[in-house]
Amino acid sequence: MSKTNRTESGVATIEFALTSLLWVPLLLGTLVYGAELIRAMQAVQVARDVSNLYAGGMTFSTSPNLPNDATNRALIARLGKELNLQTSGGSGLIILTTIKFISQRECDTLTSSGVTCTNLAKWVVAQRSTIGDTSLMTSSRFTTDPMPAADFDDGGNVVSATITNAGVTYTYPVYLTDNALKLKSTFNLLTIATDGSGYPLVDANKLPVGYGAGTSAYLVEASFRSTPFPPFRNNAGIYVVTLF
Amino acid sequence: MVRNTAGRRKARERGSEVIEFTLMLFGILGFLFLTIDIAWMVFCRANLQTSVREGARYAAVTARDFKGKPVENVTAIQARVQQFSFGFLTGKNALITVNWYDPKHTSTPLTVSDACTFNVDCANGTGNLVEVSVENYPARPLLYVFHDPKPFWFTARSLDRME
Repeated sequence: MSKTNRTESGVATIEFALTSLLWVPLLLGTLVYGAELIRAMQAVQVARDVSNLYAGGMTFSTSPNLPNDATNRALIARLGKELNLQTSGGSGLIILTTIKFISQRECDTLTSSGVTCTNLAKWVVAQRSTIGDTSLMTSSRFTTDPMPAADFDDGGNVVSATITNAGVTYTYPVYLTDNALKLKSTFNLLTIATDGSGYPLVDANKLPVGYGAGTSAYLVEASFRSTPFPPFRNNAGIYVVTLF
Repeated sequence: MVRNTAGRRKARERGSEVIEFTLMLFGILGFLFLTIDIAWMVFCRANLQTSVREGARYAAVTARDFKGKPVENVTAIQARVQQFSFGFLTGKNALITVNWYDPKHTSTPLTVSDACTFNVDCANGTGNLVEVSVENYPARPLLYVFHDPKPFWFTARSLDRME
């Protein structure tokens, strides 16, 4: 073997190893993110469809008194079957929350009742249901969970309270007064237009400008577990928020 | 003398670069095809999802054009899904399923029949739910070297409310 050949011996292997440092992670990354992209698209689709149905009045509670809710949940589980969404357990969780903005108009129902409308000018929860594995996300990003169970009926709706003051009985939803049902201040997906007195801003035809305070908005958060693949993907899952 | 030795070595190594290149080509093309196939699968899955979404939306807003004719409506929805599938679903009508549900009884789909009155007992009446799905679509890689691989089975589903 000549001197030149001896000195070049093994160079190709080293070059191959060095270039492998670039293209092997590139290839693995392509595989992992390709699979994740498919799952992300499915997650967005599921969240959007569920939001649309939820805003249309479908309910998804676990109440034994509402047997159709169980089949509604099964319908949604089938929609997310490829993501292993199940009615309970599985690899996905959907948190459905009906929210409202409390304006002075809602608080007027408490006038003379002696009860303070503590949630004036705040977003509050009016209904809550979950589908799937509740251990996946123990708290919504917008509410302070767990909320008091006593605040909800078996259909997931916020209950009403009754108080009698000066011989007059007042019945009001507890989201007007319960601080625990308030959304976190990080919720900024909807802006509210109110007049100087805290009432919803209306146009010349008395129609609300933008979102009408006191009406329901439907917030759906969907979270799905991803298979860890370090270092490209650790335990981060897919998270989607839709608002109808 | 040195020149002669070098000349013999060169003669011995003649063609080795072509062989090395050929061997490397298999690896390079393999990785290239794999990358293209991953993108192809993502494209296929995205297309199926878009198609069923479009089909469900089409079903939700055009039912009035098919008053009392849910069977005809199903055919139109399937055609719409195919139209948006970039050819993936051409000739695959059997894979496209359309179901309607009464939102108060979602356990079983409604019977699709043309013997009905729109918004009274038709499956595609206002307020019902429509589910459009592509079931078990066999997605095959675009490029493969040695043999026809087993397909990936994709299912895409979308739900909407009839308007």
